[in-house]
Amino acid sequence: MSLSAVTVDVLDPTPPYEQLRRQLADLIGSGVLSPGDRLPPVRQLAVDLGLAAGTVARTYRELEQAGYVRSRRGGGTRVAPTPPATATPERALEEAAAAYLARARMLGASAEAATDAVRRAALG
Amino acid sequence: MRVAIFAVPFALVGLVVALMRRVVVTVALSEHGGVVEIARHTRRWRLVGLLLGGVAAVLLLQGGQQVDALGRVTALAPTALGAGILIGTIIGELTARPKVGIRRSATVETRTLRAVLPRGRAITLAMSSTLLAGALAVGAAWGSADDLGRAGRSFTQTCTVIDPDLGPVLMGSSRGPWPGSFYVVPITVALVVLTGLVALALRAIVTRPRPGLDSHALDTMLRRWSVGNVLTAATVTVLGTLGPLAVFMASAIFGGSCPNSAVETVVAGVALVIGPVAAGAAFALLASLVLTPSIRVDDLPPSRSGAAAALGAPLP
Repeated sequence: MSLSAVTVDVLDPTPPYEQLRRQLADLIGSGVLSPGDRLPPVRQLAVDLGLAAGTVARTYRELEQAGYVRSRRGGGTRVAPTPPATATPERALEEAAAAYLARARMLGASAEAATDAVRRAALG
Repeated sequence: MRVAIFAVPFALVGLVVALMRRVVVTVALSEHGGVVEIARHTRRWRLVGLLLGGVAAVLLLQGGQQVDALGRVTALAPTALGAGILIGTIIGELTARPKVGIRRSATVETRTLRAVLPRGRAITLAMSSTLLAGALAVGAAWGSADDLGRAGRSFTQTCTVIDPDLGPVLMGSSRGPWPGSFYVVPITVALVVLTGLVALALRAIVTRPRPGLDSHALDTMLRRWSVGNVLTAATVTVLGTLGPLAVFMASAIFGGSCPNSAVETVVAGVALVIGPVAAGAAFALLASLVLTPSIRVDDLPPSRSGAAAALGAPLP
């Protein structure tokens, strides 16, 4: 079983709850997380990411309002039976790449330098 | 002193078996730093707990008679030992915090106890607990007041014997100490507290933050080891309580002047076997807790027999 992961960058101008919301929505919308799959408990995800529990709780609340997940008392938070299909994995990757390039531009780096950095990171 | 003489051979067997079966995972210096740090931290605290629990148990064994000459305090020594290990484990797990950086990652998973539960140790603990619960129930059910009226401290039988001169004579036989309600109540209270500590320790292990995505498998293994140690500590307490209890039970049933019923004979026979085995197993398991699985950090991979030296030109 492959594990999905989420990442939060505390220096990113996007608030952590929004970074989380976007990534979880992508995982659900692209089918990586299937209907009925259980999301981590709020406290567990908060502790793993070094965030306040309220931040993760806000993410889950917004995902629930958008129809991605369902929360039940005692049953945890699960992916909704028919979540909005927002993106394919390829589309989610393209959006992530666009966000990365936008951030690189903010730091004054060219697209070539940003691509080189990705290549170096991928090669370890 | 007699306890120590009985304990040493079993403890040695436990140490040898633990040494032979010990799991040591070797990682490179630059790998899994977060997990290695957590492993060291939790191990340190568990050993501190083991030491403090051991001191508390020895104090209860040696000084318990001065507090309560009838042995109710002494009977709590195994629980004190187990509680020490569990408290050390809880503190270690709750204070283990991996370093967080600017970019923080987490897996989208729900960590559960079932995923890291070593089945063999869980079954051993369940079987030991069932035996102890049975012994406590029989002890409480068959206990009677002793000659000073202390309820549940004696095992009493009555029977009719034919005296050549007097004819049928009603005889009573009462022996103790018997593990009746006099001892069962404090032991049960202590075991309930210990059960709470086990639950807290397991929860602390499962909810401890993950150190990083790269160390996912190693971290899961570390959690499984920690859960195994908690179950072993609980088993040590259960068996350490069951052993003496069963021996007292057997000696009280077999030592009377009235003939035993079939049920009493079976219970006493089983207790006579279980008592020393449980006590010996408790000491062996206790010794094995000193040599728990660990993570070793090394620059070079471990050499294998027949393999070329790690230094020099790489092999094609």
